[in-house]
Amino acid sequence: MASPFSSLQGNGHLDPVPGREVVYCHDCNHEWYRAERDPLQCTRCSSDFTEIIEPHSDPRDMDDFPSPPPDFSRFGFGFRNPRAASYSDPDEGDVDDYLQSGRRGFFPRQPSRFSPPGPRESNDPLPDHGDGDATMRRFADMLRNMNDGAARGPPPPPSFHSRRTPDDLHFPAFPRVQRAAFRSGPISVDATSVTITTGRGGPGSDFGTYVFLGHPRIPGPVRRTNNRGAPRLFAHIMNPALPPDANDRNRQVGAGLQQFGFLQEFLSTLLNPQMAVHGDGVYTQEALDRIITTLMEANPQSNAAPPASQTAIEQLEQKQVDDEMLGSEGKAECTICIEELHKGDQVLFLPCKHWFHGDCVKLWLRQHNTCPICRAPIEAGGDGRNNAQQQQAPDAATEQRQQPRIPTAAPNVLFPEPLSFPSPSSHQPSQAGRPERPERPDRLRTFRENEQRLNYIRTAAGLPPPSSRPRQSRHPSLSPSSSRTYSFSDNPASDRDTSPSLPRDRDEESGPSQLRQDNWNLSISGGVYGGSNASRRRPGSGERDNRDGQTSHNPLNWLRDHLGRGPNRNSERDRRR
Amino acid sequence: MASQKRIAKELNECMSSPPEGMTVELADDEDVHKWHVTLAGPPGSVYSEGKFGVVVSLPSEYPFKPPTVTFATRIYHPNVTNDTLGNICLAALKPEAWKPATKLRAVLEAVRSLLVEPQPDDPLEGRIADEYRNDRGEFEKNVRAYIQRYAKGAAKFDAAPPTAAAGAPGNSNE
Repeated sequence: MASPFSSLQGNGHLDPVPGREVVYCHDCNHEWYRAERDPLQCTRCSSDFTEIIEPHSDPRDMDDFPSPPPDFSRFGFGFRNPRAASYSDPDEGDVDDYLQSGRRGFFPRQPSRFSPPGPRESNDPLPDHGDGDATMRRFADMLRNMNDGAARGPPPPPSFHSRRTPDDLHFPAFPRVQRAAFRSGPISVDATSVTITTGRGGPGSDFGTYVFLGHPRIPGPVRRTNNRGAPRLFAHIMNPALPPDANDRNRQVGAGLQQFGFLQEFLSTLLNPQMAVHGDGVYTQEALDRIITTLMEANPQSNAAPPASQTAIEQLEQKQVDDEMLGSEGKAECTICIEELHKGDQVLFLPCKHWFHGDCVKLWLRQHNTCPICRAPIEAGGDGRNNAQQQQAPDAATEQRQQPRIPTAAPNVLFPEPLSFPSPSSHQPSQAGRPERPERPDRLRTFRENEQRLNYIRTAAGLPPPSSRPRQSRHPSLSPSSSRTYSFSDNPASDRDTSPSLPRDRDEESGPSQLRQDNWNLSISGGVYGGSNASRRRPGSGERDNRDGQTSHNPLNWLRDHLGRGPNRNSERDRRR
Repeated sequence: MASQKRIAKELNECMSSPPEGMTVELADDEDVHKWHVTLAGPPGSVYSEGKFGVVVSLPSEYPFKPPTVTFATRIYHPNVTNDTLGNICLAALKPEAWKPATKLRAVLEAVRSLLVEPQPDDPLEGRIADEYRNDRGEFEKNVRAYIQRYAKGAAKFDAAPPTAAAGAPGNSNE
């Protein structure tokens, strides 16, 4: 046994030194240096409820609290030890950090494990419930634990022991950890916790109505004592989770997890930061990324050139292969099917003078409007990547003049009324008083590219190109999220910068020299919102579908809509102007 | 279907006169959409000692959609993911850059040229790219260690990674 207390910390605790582990006994708070291969049994009280102390997981209470603050146990599960913060990685599913069972109740503590006498397979790490889905995993753990604890009953305290090996660090999810938790904690406490989640019912009406009649090591029945008050939702979910066969613990856990999988789905919309989606708005970068990723995956070609229009394809020149085309070698092949072409074959000429079998190249052109060889655009006037936007060039002149009307100063945010939101047909020359922001050519390019990409995403997602939809189609869905997420910041300048303005992307095509506001950022994300919105538009979000023209440039409209003056009204007023 | 025909032609061409340092065969004789290419490390390159399995998967829409090309053999390279997937960063295969006139032969040659000249500015493995740029000796050492470990003997295509516990050489400095 190592010489104890050779390296006491100032507060009387042993400090791990390289090559020497400090072991801590949870029973008698004794700590000592562990000799190589020494059994992890307390040298003082012979308890095996011990733990090797590691820098990131120190169970000792350096403040010498005799026990965790009483507040902790009141919260029941789901409480997180603040000390664990630096250690814990939510992605690890390390439930130890969040839930810790103790003999006197359920209180947070640093990781320690007890190995129940049960079958080893029950110790397998939890299945991953979804990447980054830490909140839900914790919640699922909590639920599973109820199920689990119900069936199994709490194991006796002496079965605790701590054993952290490198292996443990790699597989840090210990589904069994909370097994003892529910017997000792007041049931109603648990119930309160769940009630908060549902926002319904009072203490004792939800999970607390499930009383786990556990006996150590004897699978006990689970009884629901209060069916009446339980919200239906949870009743439905929990009912099948009750152990039909309490003896088969593992099966039960599996079944329980499945049940909770459903529950998860429901609750993840509420709890999961990744799913921080409300209606058409997202609140977190994660959620936005997720949407973008989904879109990109669903449309792997979304970066590619858009399909050529049928008209453009029909306008391509048809020719018969002649000697001149066959060139000096006297033969040629269609590079798409790599079949040889012979004199007299009908081929289709692209503007770049490349030619192919008509059928072959049409297959390609219906996907991309570029030459299969040189990728030159087949439609005149474009660079091959902005087909959809070109079609809107006529609108651009109109729209770009409306740019200056987008509120540019904080007072307008507060008093949007004086602003005009003219309809396309009645716009007036730029109201001179409105400050215009200088062009920033350096950002123009990026913005434009982004806008084009977004257009492809839309196209690939099967949305009609913006030209066939009302021009503001992206904005309605944008407005709520943008206003909430970005625009009402303290900084008016940032408001300006982020207020969505769709028409700009078309300005790029027709009036590159025109002044325009540089509110690219949100427009970029806005397009994504719009795209995603269209693919998962919900009933009931109708107030955002105010597609009637110029009503939704910016958050103001959203505000207005929400203040009871609908978009229609706005546009009516606009038309009157 | 034109697609099948074109693939068959390309396959025929690649099998009869394969690109330099390569042998091409079908993963399954019944399916022309999956090719197994054995790529010998280009002489003079740091990869010259290795034999690499490259899997070419042709979508049914080929040539209108790009093929996917992956290394079945693990390889230490800035432009190949350092995992069992072996994804390759090849500009020509990106959907926005793909054009049907690109032939598989050219694609394979592009893969080979990546071994001759890695493109650290467009990396899939940033760390390896940094190493390639800043510590060429260490990079080459790691490459050789990978070759010793994975790329000796006949190229394998089953993509069955060596036992996970073994770990990969060179990973220690990750």
